[in-house]
Amino acid sequence: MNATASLTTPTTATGTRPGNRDGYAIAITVFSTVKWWGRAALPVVFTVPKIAPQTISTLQRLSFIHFARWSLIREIPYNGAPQPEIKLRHPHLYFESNFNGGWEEYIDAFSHILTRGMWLFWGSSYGFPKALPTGPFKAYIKANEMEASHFYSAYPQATATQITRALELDELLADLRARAADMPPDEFAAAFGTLMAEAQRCC
Amino acid sequence: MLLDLTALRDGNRCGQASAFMALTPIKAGHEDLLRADLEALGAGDGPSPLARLPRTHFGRWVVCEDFVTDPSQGGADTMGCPHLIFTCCIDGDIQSYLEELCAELAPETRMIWRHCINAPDPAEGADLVRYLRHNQIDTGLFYSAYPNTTVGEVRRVLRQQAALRALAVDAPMLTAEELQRRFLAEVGGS
Amino acid sequence: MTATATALDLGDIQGDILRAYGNAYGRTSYVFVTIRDPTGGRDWLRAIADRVMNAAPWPGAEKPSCAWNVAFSAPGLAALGVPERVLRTFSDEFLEGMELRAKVLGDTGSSSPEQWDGGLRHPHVLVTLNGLGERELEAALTELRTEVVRHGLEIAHEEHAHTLDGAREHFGFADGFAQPAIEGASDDRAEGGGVPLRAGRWRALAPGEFILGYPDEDTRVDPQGRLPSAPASPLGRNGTYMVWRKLRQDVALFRRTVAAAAARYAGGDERLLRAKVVGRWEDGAPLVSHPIDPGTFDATAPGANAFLYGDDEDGRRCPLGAHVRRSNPRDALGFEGRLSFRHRIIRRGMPYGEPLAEGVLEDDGADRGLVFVCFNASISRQFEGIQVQWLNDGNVFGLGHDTDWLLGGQNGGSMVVPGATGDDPPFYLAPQGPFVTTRGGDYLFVPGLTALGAIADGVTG
Ligand code: HEM
Repeated sequence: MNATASLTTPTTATGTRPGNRDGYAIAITVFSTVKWWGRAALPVVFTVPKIAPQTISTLQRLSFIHFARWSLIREIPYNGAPQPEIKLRHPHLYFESNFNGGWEEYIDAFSHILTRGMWLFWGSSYGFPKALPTGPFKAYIKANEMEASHFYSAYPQATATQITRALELDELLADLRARAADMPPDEFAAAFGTLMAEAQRCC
Repeated sequence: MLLDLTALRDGNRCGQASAFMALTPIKAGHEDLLRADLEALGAGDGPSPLARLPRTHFGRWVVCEDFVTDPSQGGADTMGCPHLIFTCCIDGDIQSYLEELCAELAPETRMIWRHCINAPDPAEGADLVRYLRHNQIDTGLFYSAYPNTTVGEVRRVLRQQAALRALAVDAPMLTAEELQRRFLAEVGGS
Repeated sequence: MTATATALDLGDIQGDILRAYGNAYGRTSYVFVTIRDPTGGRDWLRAIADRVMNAAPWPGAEKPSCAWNVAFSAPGLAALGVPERVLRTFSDEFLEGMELRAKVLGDTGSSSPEQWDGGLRHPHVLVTLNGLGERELEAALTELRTEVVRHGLEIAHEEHAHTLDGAREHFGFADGFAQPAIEGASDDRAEGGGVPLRAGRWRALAPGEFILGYPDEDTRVDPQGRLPSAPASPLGRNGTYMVWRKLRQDVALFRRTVAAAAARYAGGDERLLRAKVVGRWEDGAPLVSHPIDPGTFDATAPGANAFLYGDDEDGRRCPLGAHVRRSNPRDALGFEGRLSFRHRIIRRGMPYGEPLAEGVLEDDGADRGLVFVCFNASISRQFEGIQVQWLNDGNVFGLGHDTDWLLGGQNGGSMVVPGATGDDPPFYLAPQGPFVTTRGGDYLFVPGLTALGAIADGVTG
C-alpha cells in the first residue's frame, strides 16, 4: 500500500464520496443559508416562467441531470419534546441533484454555462462564491456537501442522455415496429437501413 | 405584502413525477447507529430495499448534522439537533407512494425511523405515513429530464435501445430474413 | 496585455515539459530509481542535479548530447524526507498514486496492477534521458547507473523508447503533433492548439493549466486574480504533475480486427476505416478537413490543426467516437467549447519496442507499445477527465458507455461510424480486443530547478 495515500480522504472515480454513488448515478446534497431578501426572491425564481425556465432549458441541453430539486426551508417541523423547538432566523435552501458524469465536470458545467442561473438560485445564499472562478466554487460545494448514507437509482447503469435518446428512439421505432411482422424481408431490410440512418444519434 | 407565489403551483410535481422530502429529528446520540443501519441497507452488491418499490426513480437517506453556517451570516442558525433527510423522486402521487413505502418496506422503515424523535413505534404503516407527512418539506422547484416517463418505461426503452444496437452491430452479417426475424424477436413488433 | 501575461521562468522549469524533445532526440530512456535512505537519496540528487535540463532556449544549434530530467512519485518524495506537512499540500490523486486509482482509470482485468511489470509498481524517482543517438544515450545511462550504485540506491525499472519512422506509433499513425498552445511559450500554435473563439479566432491557454505557480484559466475570470492551488513553497513554483503510463499495443490484433471489419465497410476501404477510428488519416490529416482522402498533409504547417467539429455535428466526416475527437473535443460538446477547454494535456509519449513488420497479422510475442507521458497542473481535472469521462465512457458524446475503440478498455464497447450522408446508414464496429493494455505507471511531480535543489538539500519546509 502506498504510504502517502493515507494523507487523503477517499473519493470515487468521479471525485465524490462513495456513499453518493450508485452505478453511474451520483447524488449531491447541499444546504445553504439564505439572506433576508432570498425569502421573497427565491419563490419568484422557482415560479415565474421567464426567469428559471431559461436555466431549466440549459439543464435539459447539458443533459446530465436526471432529477434535481430546490426547496426553501423556513421552519423545522416540530414533533414535541425532546426535540428542541427552534425558531429559524434565516430560511435555508436545500438542493439535491441526481446526475451522472464526473463531479468535476458537473461543477465545471454549472460554473461555465449556468453562470447566471447559479446566481439566480444561490446569489441570495450567505458565503456563496460566484460560479466563476470555479476553484472557490468547487471548494464551497466540497465543504458543504453531505454524504448520503444510502443512495438508490432504479437504473444505475443509465445516464440521463441515454434515457432521453432511448425515448427519441422509441418514437422513431414505433412505425417500423408496427409494420415489421407484415413486411417482406427485403422491404424490411431496406426500412431497417433507413431507420438506422435516421436513428444513429439515439442508438 | 408578499404574494406567496409557490402556492400558485405544486412545486412537488414535474410532469407525472413527484418529489418528496422528509426532515426528521434524530434521537440524541443515535446518528452513528442510524448511519450504520442505513449503510447496511443493500450493503455489498445486494439490492437496495427501494428496488422493491417500482415507482422509485431515485431515493436517498442523508444524516445531516446541522445547517451550514457561513462566517458572514452573523451566528449559527441551528436545526436544534441532527436530522435525517429522506428524499425520493417517484412516479405518481406522494400519498399512495408513502403508503407503499411504510407497508412494503416495513422491516426497513422500522430500523430507520426508530432512531428518530417521536416516530411511531413500530415505525411503519399509517402512523409512519402521518409522521412523514408531518415532517414533509415542500419542494420549490422540481426538475426532471424526462418528467412523463415512468420507471418501467425508462427500463423498457433502455432495453430496446440496447437490443437495437446489438442487432445493428450484427446487421451487415445477416440476411434480410435473419435480420427481420431477430428484429421481431429481440426488439419486438407491436 | 491580459492579467495572465506572466513571463514563464524558463530557466527554472524543467526542459521536457514545454519542449518536445522527440523532435530533437531520437531515443529516450526512462529509469526508475528506488531510494533506500533519505541521506543517500539526497546526496545522489545533488550529484546529478546540474545535469537536469531547464527550458531556456538552446543557444544556436548546440543542443546537449543527452538531456536529463527528473520526476518524483509521492512515496519517492516521502523517501527523500519531504515532511508529511508539505506532502499534504499536493493533490489527492498524486498522493494516492496511479495504482490506487486503477479502478477509476479502468485499469482492471489484464490491465490491473497485479499484472503490471514488477519494477513499475512503486516507483520513487523517474530519470528521463533523451539522447541524440544510441552512443550518447548509452554514455548517460552508464553514468546514471554508476551514480545510483555509488549512493546505495537501486534501479527498479528501465524502459527504452525511440521514435519510429515518420513519427508513427505502432498502429501506424503519425502521433504527437496536436498539442495545447500555451501563453508565453507557444502562442504561435494558438490556431488549432488553443481555445477556439468566435469568428475563426483562437487564443492560447493560460500557463497555469500546465505549469504550477502561474495564472490558469480560472485566474483569468477571477477579479481577485487568485492562483490555482499548488504544493507549498518552494515546491509549488515552476513544477507540474506528470502522468507516466506504459501502454502495450497488440498490433496484430488491431490489424486483424480492422481488416475483418473493413471487409464489410464502404467497399472494403480499410484506410478510411482506420482513419475513422482515429479521426485522422495515417499521415495525420484530420478527417473533418480531409473527409475523402488525406491529400498531402503537413502536420507542422501553420493552421494544420485549426479545425473544429461544429459543422460536422453528426460525425459524418469524423465519427463522434474517434480517438482525437474524444481526447480533445474542441467545440464538439457545444457551449462554445466551455465544457472542454479545461481538460487539455501536453503529451510527450514515445513508442517502445520494435515495430511489427508490415503485413504481419500474427502476434510475435514481442512487447511493444507507447510510453504515454503527459504534463498537466491538475491530474484529476485534465488527464483523468480525459481518460475516465472521454476515453473510457461515451456518455458526454451521446455514445452511451462506448469506450474509445482505438484503445478498447476492459468493457470494450462498439463504435458507430456514421454514414457519409443523411441517407447512408451507420456502420457499427463490434466490441474489440482490447488492443491496448496498461503495463504500469504512476503519477509524478516534476519540480522546478529551485524546488529540486530544495528536495536535494532537504529544505522543503
Ligand atoms: C496506445 C495508446 C494510444 C495511441 C496509439 C494513441 C494514438 C493517437 C494518435 C494517432 C493521435 C493523433 C495524432 C495527434 O493528434 O498527435 C492521438 C492524439 C491524441 N491522443 Fe492519443 N493515443 C493513445 C493513448 C492516449 C491516451 C491514454 C490519451 C489520454 C488520456 C490520449 C490523448 C490524446 C490527445 C489529447 C490527442 C490530441 C487530440 C487533439 O488535440 O486533437 N491518447 N493519439
